[in-house]
Amino acid sequence: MKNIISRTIPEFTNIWNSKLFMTMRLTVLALLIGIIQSYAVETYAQMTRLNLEAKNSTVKDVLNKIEEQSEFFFLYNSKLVEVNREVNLEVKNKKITEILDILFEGTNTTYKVVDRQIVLTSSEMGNGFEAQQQKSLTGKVTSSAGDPLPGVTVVVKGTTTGTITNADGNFVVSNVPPEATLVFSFVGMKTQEITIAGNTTIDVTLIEDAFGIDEVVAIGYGTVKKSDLTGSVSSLRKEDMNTGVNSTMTGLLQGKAAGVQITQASMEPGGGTTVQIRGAGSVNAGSDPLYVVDGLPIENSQVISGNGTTIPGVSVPRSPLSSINPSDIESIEILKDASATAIYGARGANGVILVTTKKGSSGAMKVTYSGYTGIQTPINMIEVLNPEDYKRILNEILDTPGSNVSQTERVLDIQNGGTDWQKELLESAVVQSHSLSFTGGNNGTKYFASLNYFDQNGVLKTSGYERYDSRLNLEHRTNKMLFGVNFSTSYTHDNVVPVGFSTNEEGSSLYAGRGFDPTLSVFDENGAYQTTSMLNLDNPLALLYGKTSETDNYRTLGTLFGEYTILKGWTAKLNVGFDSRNSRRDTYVSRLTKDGRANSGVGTVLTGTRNNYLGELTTTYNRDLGEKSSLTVMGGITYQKFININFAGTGKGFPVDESKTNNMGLGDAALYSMSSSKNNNKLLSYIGRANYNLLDKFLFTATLRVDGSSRFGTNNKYGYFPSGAFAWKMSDYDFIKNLNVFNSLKFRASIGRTGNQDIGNFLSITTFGSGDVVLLGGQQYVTFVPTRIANPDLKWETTEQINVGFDMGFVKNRISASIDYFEKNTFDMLFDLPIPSSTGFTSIMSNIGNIKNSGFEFTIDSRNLTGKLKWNTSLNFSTLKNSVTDIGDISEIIHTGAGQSTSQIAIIRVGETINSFYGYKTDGIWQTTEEITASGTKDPVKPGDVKFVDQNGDHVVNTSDRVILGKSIPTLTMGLTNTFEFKNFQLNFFIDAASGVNMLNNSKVETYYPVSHRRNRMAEPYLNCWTLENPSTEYPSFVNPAGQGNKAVSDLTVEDASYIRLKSAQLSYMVPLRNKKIFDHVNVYVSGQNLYTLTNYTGQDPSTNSNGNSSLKIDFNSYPVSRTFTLGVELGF
Amino acid sequence: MKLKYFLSSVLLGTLLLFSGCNNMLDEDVYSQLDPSTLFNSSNGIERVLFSGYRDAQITGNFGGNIWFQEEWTCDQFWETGGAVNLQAAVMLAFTWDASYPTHWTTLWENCYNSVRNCNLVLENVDASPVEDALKERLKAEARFVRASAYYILYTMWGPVPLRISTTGDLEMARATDAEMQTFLEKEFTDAAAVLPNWGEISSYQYGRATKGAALGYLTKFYLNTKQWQKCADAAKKLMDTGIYQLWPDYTTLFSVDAETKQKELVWVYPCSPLGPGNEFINGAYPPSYASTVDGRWPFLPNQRNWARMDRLKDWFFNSFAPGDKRKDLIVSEYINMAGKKISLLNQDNTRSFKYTPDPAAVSNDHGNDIAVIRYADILLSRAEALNELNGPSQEALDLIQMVRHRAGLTTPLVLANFTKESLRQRILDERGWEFYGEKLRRQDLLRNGTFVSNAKARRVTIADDHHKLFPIPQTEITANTLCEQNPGY
Repeated sequence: MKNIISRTIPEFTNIWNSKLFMTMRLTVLALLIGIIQSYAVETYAQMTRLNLEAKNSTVKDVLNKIEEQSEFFFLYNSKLVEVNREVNLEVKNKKITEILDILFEGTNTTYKVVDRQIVLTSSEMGNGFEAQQQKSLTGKVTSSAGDPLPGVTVVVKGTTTGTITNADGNFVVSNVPPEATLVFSFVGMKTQEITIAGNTTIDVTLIEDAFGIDEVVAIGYGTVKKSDLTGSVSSLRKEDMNTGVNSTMTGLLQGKAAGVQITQASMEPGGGTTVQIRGAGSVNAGSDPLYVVDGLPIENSQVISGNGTTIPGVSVPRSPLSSINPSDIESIEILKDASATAIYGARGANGVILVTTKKGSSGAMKVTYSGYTGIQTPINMIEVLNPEDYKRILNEILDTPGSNVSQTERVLDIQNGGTDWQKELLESAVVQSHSLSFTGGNNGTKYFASLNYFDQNGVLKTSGYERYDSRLNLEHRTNKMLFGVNFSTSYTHDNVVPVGFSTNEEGSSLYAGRGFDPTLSVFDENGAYQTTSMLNLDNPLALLYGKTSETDNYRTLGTLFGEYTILKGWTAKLNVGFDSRNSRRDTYVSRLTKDGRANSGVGTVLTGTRNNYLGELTTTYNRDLGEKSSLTVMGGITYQKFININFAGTGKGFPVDESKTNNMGLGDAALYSMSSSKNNNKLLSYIGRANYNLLDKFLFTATLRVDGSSRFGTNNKYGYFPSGAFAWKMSDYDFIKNLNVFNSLKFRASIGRTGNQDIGNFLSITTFGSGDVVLLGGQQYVTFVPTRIANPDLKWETTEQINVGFDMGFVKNRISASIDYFEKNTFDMLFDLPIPSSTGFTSIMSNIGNIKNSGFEFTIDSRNLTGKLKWNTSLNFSTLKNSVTDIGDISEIIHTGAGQSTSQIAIIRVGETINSFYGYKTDGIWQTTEEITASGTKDPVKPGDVKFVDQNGDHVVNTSDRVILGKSIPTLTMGLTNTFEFKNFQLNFFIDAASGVNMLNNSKVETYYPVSHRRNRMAEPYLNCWTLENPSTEYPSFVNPAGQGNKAVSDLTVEDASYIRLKSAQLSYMVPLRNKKIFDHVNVYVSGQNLYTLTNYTGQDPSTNSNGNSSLKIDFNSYPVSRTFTLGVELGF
Repeated sequence: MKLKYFLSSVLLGTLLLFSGCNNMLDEDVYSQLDPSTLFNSSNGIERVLFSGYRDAQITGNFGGNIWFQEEWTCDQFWETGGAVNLQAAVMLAFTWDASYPTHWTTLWENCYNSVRNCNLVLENVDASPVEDALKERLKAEARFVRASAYYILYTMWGPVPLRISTTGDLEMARATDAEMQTFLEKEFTDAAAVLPNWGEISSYQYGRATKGAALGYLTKFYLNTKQWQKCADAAKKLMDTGIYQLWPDYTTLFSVDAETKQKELVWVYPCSPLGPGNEFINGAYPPSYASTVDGRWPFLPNQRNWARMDRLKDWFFNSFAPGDKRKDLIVSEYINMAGKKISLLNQDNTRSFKYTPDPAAVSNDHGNDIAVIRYADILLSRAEALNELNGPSQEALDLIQMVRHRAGLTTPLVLANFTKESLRQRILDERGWEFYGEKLRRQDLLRNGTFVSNAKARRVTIADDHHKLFPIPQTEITANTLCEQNPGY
């Protein structure tokens, strides 16, 4: 019962401070407006009917029962209302007023029902609103936001005299001695005492008991009051999340929570994000957090991994999370420390993101429509040489003595002014979203249903993403039972224009667009897309229209739960869930492209199914130990099985392109190829948690999860993940009070272990898979190879984390702040340990090595102005230090792969950040032959070449002269939200920033080392390149650029990717309504995203990471960034 | 719901969910294969062996990039353009090291993958229910393929860790040079005794190990280790099988057409447009190539012209005798897409079209089998061995003349004109004209002791003796503490 009050009241009181009119709380708001204006609408009280049976019970018991069964809650002064009186009551299907009439029949207790709030008063003290006696005192009680507070108890201290404020917050108290003190109390507010001192009017502003602290937050297998949290949990309500267009739920969180690093890895519609909580703890196992949606841990691997034959590879696949509609989300909790995550055991090491979708609310059905439409404009494109500069500069290089370029590669003429290929590929694109939700309920049943349509066209022509989804959350409560379903199903359609790391003819349209000859016109004289034999690139537009990839994704996920109260305080809960994903991708390469012509069309169909189901039984026992102490114990068992099935078929040699993949039988039967696979994995786990609250001052939490995973070796099937936490509410102590600084102060400390099992299947057993096809006697033969050296001892990797923190409130709780320090040590790391490749294997998955992450996290929420103009600020920033502390007997590992010409980008070395950039330092440009001779270098350099630093002084710059150039994990990240409210207007803007971070700009690599002379490249270095007349110290001559061999990774290409950015701004307006005949509320807004960025980074966007691996930032062929403006409306009916 | 029903249904549900917990966490293997059943059939064993074959074949892009070190470190070829230029620049300048070029690491790994698979076959074939004769042949094949992989490793890095089983410690020291040589000699010799001759068994596919191939490797091994008598003998033995002969037309020898008809290619890496493919021509096409001047080899829409430019030096192009048909496979002028005639001369820019374009190519992949050991090489190897043993002889000159004759050079060399030294040089030159672009040049220069001096003559001043062997890949050195790096790296 306490929960119901504490859950409801803060919403009620906070509503005036929160980002108004945008949220779920509209229902509450509408209610309040209804009260104030005395609207006669059918209320909850009139609709709700209750059954009660109470024998020899006290009035208090009956009130408690009503609170348990319904959403009513009672406010009363126990001194005025006789609640210990014994009653016998049996009612069926009665309204609350009927019940209260029976209950208080013959007593002097009167009641006033204000929606769900029922205020009990005594008729003997007189009705404060009517009794106008001489020595009366009047006043008004308001919230800190200036809004009237109805139902506040006003009592003359030391007496039973008192009253309750009316709907306008007004009160009248009679017979008050001039020196008396008034006590104002209201659940959820700080009790305030005011000495009258002869005044006849007193206006009082009540302060919330603890700003935001009494929210209930999800912690996994249960909830806890925010003030009772012992672990480090970031809790975001809907209104705290990002505004504007966010196709995935991770987009809602970007920059909003300290210690949570979210990177929009690809800017494409529905594009993937990478999420890293408190750093990267693993070299080879996954670093994604676990997502739990309404109690169901979901799995987010790609359903289909293949791209389709001769379709450019995609480095950052679309996020499977995008199939979950962000507007259905009520709140997101991010569990960060071990105390919070240990309950998820072997999947908790990277943090856990708990998603709670909207629940139904009781009462008449409320219908809400919200929709927006927006326009996205590409910005910050990489500037390449224009036709004139291209011709002039390339020919100058060709003519420079020492150039290897042959005369045949001279640029001759510019056709019709040439073409800006990037521009041809891009357009402004429209995005729209329409959501309709229904919520309501009665007699213990509540529902929330929603329908959503989202359609985002990409700024890269033909790319786009569409989502249709629906949700039904249903809950029914009876005396002993609570059961419900959370069910959602979605269909998404993806038009992917692949932009990955593929190069040359295999490259994407965007890749070709940046490198293609700008002196050409789009079409040749026959009207066909022009190609040039000077470049091994296909026409960018031919690629755009000729290589198509469309994916249909279906995802249905749901949980069905039943919770039964066995005895008072003892419940058992059965939770069954499933997550089913089906995808089909159709790719086709038509004769518009070189590949299509070479193969007479290539069609690929890839299908996949990824299903998992969950069965889980938990039981919770909660006992009130008196004196504000309590104990809650939870235990349970859970089983989850994951099943994956894939099939792919490719056809070539189609007589015509028209039927694409819709009639694969038309292809040349001799050229068909197909593949399929099936695998599964399983988790069987036992969980337990105890929360002990001593005197509401000391809080203890202990958890244990035992996880068994099929992925682990036979010798190590089960892992044990314990954690313990302690919190101390210090603000009630005099020594803290006397400081006069804190309104609230809580100290937290936790320690625990979590695991990571994200390593793929079969690593502990030996199997044979298929090797490369061999050609013998003109026939292709499939071959078999052993897939690995098995490691039967393989187990989870373990992360041990300590966390200490303070939660603080200042200045009457107008400022609340949290500070956390954590240290995360990962050991028994799941590490693909390099072994001598002369064994025929390059590595063995092992439990070797340590990585340490540590950092500070600060969060500050401040209500700077609370009057008519309200101004709230929320700031979070976090620091992170990542360090590899042990990698076994291996001294270092150099990360290979990425763009075609770029390999050996990063290094894993003890004492350094994981995947630190590793390459050459430069020291300007060689200016003269004398300078070269004097240096004694043996390298084949000439004036105008880049001067690479010879670290070891052996006069040769080779791989032993490489040094660490930077890191991908930012030292400092920051998010700052400001909200202003004036009358019906609200303005919100959000700034995010990162510093101490680098990124490999691979477009710059291709600028310094062009694949061929006629490839176009970034303009700026070439416009200012070194010549005899312009002895640049910044840019080389670019004559024979690869003369010094591969120095692609250097401080020229690894750039500082720090930035500060106005990420979004939104202005909204609540339309004042004369009456509510049609609309309950109308809210309109405009918002903008990606408004302004301050950075030294020379590529498109410092915050992107087209590599898709959050610990190694590489920018290559990144999808264009766009600036988005949207216009939106929300209508409540 | 009554409590007892609820509890019993929960209990039942729990039982259903968690029954049989003991094997609930076993891994189910569906699409991969269980080793315990794989080796129970000849098909299973054969397919493991096939992967051994495949990994010892240097084809595709891999072939184009890696194997070119055998030319780029020598005097005839060079390269500009393309992403590969970053690797080529290092090879051309002799500035490679243990970490770079990375392709060498891939080559190392592929060879040892082949070794591993062959070892698996050798370890499991005895216990399998396969008839004895087949067992013996499979073993001989596995030993041949394994030795061919070790031959590549030995050529690149000198003696390497000699793994002949899949068990034992992960770390392993390098064999001595003597151990390595003994091993290669014995493996090829033993294999030659068991393996069938080409065409002997009809179901035995082209591309699988034969007696001739084993003898061919033996000849090449003896030649490059300067075991002259054994070299001459092995070559003779191969010639005496009577199976092999020179294909009459040098200009069509490497075409897809000739593949099934010729009897000159003793050992090949088989290629097909469907993969594995031959990708040499893609880098040989000059910019904007439309066709040769005489219209031969038109560029087709199903083909690719890379940014990479594999170029020949002018001195080499000009060194051919007049009428030498082997020069006809070098393109010195062409018609570009604009219909203009473009000359490639005097810019070190002529192109080897040895692997003549496959009209049925699919994108990068052409179907020309890659020649590894040719009968012409056997003939010239015997000639060289004989000269080293006894000085100039008519037999040696006749062997050389067979090769020259096919190239249209009908005037025989005159014995009286040669000393041992001048004939050695003549054979080296002849090998240059005959085998350019076939990745034999580095071996030939090393054998003749001119690899380093030749580089210095090209103004690669930093070239010295340590460059005769490449550095063992850093990844191996890092993970295998017993494996010592080659001196100088």
